[in-house]
Amino acid sequence: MLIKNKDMAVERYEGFPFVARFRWTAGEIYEVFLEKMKEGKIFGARCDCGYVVVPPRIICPRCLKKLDQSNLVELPQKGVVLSKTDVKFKMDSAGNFEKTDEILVAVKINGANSILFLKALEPVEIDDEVEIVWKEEKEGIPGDILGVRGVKK
Amino acid sequence: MRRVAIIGCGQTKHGRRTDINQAEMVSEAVWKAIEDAGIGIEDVEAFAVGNMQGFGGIAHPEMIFSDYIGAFGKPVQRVATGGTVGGSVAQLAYYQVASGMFDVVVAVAWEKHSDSAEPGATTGLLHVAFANLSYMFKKGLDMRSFAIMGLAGAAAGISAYQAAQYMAKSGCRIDHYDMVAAKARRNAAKNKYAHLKWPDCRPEDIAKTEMLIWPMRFGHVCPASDGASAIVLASEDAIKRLKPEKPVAWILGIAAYADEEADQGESYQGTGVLDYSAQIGCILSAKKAYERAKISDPRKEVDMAEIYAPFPHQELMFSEKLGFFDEGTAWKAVEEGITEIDGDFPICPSGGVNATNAIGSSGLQRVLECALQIMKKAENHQVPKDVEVAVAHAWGGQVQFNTVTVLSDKPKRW
Amino acid sequence: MKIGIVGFYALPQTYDVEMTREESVFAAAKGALKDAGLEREDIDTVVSASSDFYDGRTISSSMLIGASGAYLKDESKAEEDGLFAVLYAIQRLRTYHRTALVVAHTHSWTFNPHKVSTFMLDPLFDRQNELLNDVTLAALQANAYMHSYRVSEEDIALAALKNLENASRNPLAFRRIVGITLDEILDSEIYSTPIRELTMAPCCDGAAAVVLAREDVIEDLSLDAVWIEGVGAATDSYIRDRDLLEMNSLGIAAKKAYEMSGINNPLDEIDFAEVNERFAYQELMIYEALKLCQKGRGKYLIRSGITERDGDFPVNISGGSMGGDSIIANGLYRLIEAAKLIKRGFGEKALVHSQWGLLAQKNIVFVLRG
Repeated sequence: MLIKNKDMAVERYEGFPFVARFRWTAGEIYEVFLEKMKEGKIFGARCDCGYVVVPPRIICPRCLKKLDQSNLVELPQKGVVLSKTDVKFKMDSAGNFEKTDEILVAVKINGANSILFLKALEPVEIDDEVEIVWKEEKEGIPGDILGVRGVKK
Repeated sequence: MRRVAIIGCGQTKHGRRTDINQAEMVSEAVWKAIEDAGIGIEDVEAFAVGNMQGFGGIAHPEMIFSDYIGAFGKPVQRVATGGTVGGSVAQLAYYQVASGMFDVVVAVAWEKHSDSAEPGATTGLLHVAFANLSYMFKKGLDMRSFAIMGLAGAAAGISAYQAAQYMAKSGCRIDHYDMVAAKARRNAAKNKYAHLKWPDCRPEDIAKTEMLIWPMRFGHVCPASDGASAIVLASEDAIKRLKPEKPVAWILGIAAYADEEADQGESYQGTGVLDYSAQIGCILSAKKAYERAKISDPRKEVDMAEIYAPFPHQELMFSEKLGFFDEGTAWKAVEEGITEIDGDFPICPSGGVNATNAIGSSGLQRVLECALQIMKKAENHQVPKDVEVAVAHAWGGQVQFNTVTVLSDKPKRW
Repeated sequence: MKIGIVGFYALPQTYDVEMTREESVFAAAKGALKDAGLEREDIDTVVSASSDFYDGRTISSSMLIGASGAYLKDESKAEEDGLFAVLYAIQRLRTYHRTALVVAHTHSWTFNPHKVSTFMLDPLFDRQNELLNDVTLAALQANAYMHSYRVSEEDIALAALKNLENASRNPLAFRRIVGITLDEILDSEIYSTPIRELTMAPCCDGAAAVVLAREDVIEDLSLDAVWIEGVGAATDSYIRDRDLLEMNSLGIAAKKAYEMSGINNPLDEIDFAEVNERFAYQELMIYEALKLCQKGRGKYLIRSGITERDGDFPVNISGGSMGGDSIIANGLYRLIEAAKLIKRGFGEKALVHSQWGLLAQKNIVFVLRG
């Protein structure tokens, strides 16, 4: 089972006559998460202790109980901004700095305990309510989520 | 100094595991070990972890896995020593407990080669070869030749040279390498966690495989497996307190002596190893480990060994360095069947690294398998004789790091 | 069985150093041995520290056996901050060995360490976000901290100012800006709000080594020692499932170190501290986790001048990480700076801290005594 990532370009450096890439196994429960993403849905895993982890995984991060597909719950696509930052730099695959002007936020998704780190597509403030913005054509990859935007009041 | 024993073991099935991700694989082994030890996660005070992160593509992966293995709030120490990392992890765990700092610790080591998109262990090996051998550009090597050399398998390249040296010094033949490889696959067939299983493998079957770099045949080469192994170590007092119902495997003595890099005849420090089969580091490690374990005659006092031999000649070579056979005679013991599972001195009844090689896990597995044999929990690959003392060995780096661990069914020897 | 530091040596931190890593490690190891008045033969065990990803080579320690003095010795390595190698060395000393050499290095110029930090992210989800790295994560934590406790940019810049002033006097530091001002700091280039060039540690090249010994050896050989009274280490959860406002693992590590060394009130009983503040705001959170003050009150310690070099509880007289972050060697620089100060009679008890991982997921604390 493979995770597809078309955004991770394979770079051929001058003079290197080989390629060396990684392709991480997703695991069953994460694969379901990706399938649901393709449908424009966000799923987490709810443990009996009440902790909801997203993306879902096989062990509860709080009480260490085993979780499986029966623990999957659909989550609302809204959340609260825990923190934000105006990011002024990026790095290319060789680690060179590039300038940019984008916003990164830490979002607590409603109904879940985990924090998701996502782009904000417009300026937002801490404590703002935000909602997930999807790509038109979804492929079942993390990149299907373009980011978040403020919820119109 | 406190006495330390292994009270639980856990491993995943090794092989190509594209059904679980790296975190899940590590947690599987850890929870199995905790369950096998009959304790709870609250009893575990610290963790010893290790893998060769260049192969799995995640830097310091235990940071991601900490939630999977219940490590939050607890100390996690990480080591990385090449092929012997599993052995080093087991030894770190031993020191964690023997020093008196912790009573119960979990040691886990793993590798997930299938997370690399290139075949086998190529990505990781390029990461080794490229950086460590890049000084050759100064000597006039061009990029293309370098890549071919690196891709030919850095470790396999050194090992082929080492295999040829051992053959020249000992007088053995390539048939003996075939015999050892066949034994590995036969034994692996009895081990439900092993990778390359071949129940009736005979030396002739190995001999039919393609010659890669003389004297290394395709049938001699270990696979690139995914897998994780974990053990729980506890102090003597903790064992009394936790009262495990099952027998334990005591660690009597350990040592890890390093030689200088055994390749290309020159390293960055301007010196060089001329004979890769000399393995002074292993000889010293064994000597010291036996001294600490109060073993004076390894041949008489040790019952079996798990030797880190991704290539068959290394089983022969290291069994001599570890003192089980006279220099240059190990191949005779193989001919006589002495190292078979039911022989006088079984070596690698688990199938060893030749049949299963998840780099991180392999070194720890040697310790774990010895423990299983002592506790009589090795199921179908349990050796018939009583195992009172077992020796686990691993090498790493450019065949220069060594870990030797002596285990026993009793806490000390008289 | 008490363990003491009997020798140490750190190379001046720099960038694009004209030495190979092997030469750096060799210089550090030789220097430490000389400082201890010992020979290679006197060392029972060596623990080196290096990181495969930061060095850009798997088995990063395999070419360092000769350089670190570990040839034909019982040795191992820690693959994380050098202070964890010291922890491992202590465990070895309490078991078989009587003397130990610990050496750590990173040459940051080899590959951008901030890019390497992205390789610590979960490859299945977080690493797919091109904006996420150690700096932007720190920025998120800093903003959450500032918002929750009404900490201003100036509060944080004052911590950076203190450390940069201190660093300008430290020959081992990399970033030495003599006459640094608050305005310069607040005007420096923004990486990710509120993190600026001068409120984050500059990654640099460094190598450092310490020699440790058991108390019986120290007595027998009449060596000068700085004693290790206590040590504690702990790990936090991965970034998605932890509280951004808490340095939980540091609190646990500090508690253990205090218990071991019989410290009840660190502000009173300890004389000074060397901490690894990869980002200036972290120093405030570190004060709180170390129980030097209540949560959210770190800014008062800064503004009161208590943690200045002439204050009651100086923190980072060396300049801390603001003066230079040689990644794996960072913790050893903190340890060596503290040991130096103790030997000079600056104080009797010191606290040494270092961190590892995104958002200081792992922390380790030592308490030293002269």
